[in-house]
Amino acid sequence: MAIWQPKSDEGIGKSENLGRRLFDEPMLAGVQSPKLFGGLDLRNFQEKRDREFSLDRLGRTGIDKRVLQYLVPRAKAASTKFKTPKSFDGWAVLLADVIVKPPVGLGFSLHPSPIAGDGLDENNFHAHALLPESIEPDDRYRTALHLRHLFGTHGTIHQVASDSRPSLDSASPQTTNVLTALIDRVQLTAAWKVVRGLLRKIGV
Amino acid sequence: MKFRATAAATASISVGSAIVSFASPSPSVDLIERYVRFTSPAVHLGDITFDAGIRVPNPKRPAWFSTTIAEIRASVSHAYSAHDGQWLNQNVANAATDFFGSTADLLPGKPYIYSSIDGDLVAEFTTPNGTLTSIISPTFTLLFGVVDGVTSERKIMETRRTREEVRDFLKPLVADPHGDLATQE
Repeated sequence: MAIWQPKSDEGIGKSENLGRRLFDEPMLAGVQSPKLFGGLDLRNFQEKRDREFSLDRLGRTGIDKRVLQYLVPRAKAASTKFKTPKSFDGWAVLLADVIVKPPVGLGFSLHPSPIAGDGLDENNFHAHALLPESIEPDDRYRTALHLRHLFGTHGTIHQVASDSRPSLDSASPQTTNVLTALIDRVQLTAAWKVVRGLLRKIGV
Repeated sequence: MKFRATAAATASISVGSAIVSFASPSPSVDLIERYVRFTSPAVHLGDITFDAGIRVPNPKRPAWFSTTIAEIRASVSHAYSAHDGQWLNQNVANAATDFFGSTADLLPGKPYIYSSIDGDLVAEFTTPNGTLTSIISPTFTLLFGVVDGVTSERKIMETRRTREEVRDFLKPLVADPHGDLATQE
């Protein structure tokens, strides 16, 4: 059976599963003993560039494994293009209908917006929710908080093991976040030991 | 109203839960005389002068306060230019320090803090009845609460009203029917 090919001129179906990419965001430099947090990081729901809240169409009526096979390498490639590379952790997934007509608060119109490109730069499954025009910073925060609430309350998390981390697919989102924070901490400590060793070697 | 001498030249007067201290820089000031002058009905309050000003002591701060403030201060970069998520600029750090300084005893526990994409400070709390997210910028503080799936928000512009606004906003988020929070580790 061929992979589902969404048509950009057909619009987005009510039952489509739409995913917001989740990236591992950095901690503050001064945080030595981070409190463990089981929620979604607000930064993953802030759209910095424009009013188009970027989404991936994960499947027509559910999460389509073949679509994931197409999208995961693209999302991982995108995670390396940040100023400071991040790891791609998966998607926060929500039904299209909930985004358009949420149980609480403002809804958002959805638009297919496939991205043309070569190789991993191409994304035939890209879509966006159009955000309200916000001039004030607090309006943008309200929109991000609302979207996070919708995805966190009415959606699910589809996790993807990053290349540098053990798979946490079978863990609950809260457990995973706790484990992820611990792994980060261990990695940071190890990195610091290496840097400290180098500094000692050069006599600093 | 009760009066309590706490040192040679200091008296603390409690009115309800508030404590007002009269402190003198000079230990030679006759505390008893001041006490009598203050309590004497024959003396008009306007006739009384005190050597030192009246101050309201800082509210009792929870154990996490000093750690969180230290983490914020250690995250300030004077070479800060872009929002990379690891550093705060001084103005944001100052706003966050002021916010926690005036509300720490009301808040439900140690926050999970990070920098927003815009460089402001985000503080996430879990409360007995839901969640609270505070976004602290140099020009405003935004509170966003969720209780039983119902969201509420409040924008605070005037820093002098921060404590009052936070106390009021937190009422539905905490279990205490009186609206006062028991701080947690």
